[in-house]
Amino acid sequence: MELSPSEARHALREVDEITLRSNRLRGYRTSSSYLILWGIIWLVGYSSMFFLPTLSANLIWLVLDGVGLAGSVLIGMRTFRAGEDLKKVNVRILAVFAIVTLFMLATLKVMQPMHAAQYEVYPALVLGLTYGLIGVFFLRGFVWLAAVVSLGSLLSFFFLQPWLPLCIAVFGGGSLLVGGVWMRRL
Amino acid sequence: MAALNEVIHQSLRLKIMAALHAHTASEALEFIALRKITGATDGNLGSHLTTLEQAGYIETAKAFVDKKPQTRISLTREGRRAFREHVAYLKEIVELAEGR
Repeated sequence: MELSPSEARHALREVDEITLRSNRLRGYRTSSSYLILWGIIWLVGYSSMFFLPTLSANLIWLVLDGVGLAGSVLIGMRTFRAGEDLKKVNVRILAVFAIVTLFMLATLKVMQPMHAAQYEVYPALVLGLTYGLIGVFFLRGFVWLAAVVSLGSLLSFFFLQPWLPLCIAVFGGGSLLVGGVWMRRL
Repeated sequence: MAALNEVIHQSLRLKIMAALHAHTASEALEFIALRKITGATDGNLGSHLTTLEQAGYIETAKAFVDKKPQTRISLTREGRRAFREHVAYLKEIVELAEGR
């Protein structure tokens, strides 16, 4: 049996389309564990800031970020068993974490003086930006996450400032958790 | 020029192979995920998976996850090689037709 060029073209188009769909599903499933982990960290971190205001926010986040980073590396080790993939993924996780942290520290420094509410809402906006970019370039579902995190945090900043850390815990942490569970079920 | 692989060329089997090929050698896809990606029905997907398994291109593993039965499917080394050859064959036909 011989194939015509148009049949071959059609088959190649099908391969491309299915490869894209399969990669997208893989991306969502891989992201889900990271989102659930960081959703819990946000919930715990911002809730602690609200309910335990005497505790140092820097200390809370130093511990929680450490837990999050170690957890992310562990998820990478469980998800990507092949040596080369694992190394690449873990290097990327560390690189993204370092870039986002450095960016936040640098911008916080140049935007002084800032009041407490600005400090609280700023990480949520950076997270919204990061997810928005992931959504535009890779996985569309992240655009919705970005929208919920950013809008929820902004509205809380302007209209619910006394409860801001609690609102960010719910909007930020909650949307990461819900998003992670939704992506796992895809 | 390579020959047409008639096992892989059938439309749904080509989709199954492409979906599995997008994953690394150590990763498997669940039956439900494969059904979503290919848009096939349970029965149709099952029968084409059997054909691919008999050809030695895929392997299936059954397990219980959260007390629910789960079938996980992955490409064999032979399947990965056969799929790459088939795609190369398709590209060759297109390139010849375009005079490249």
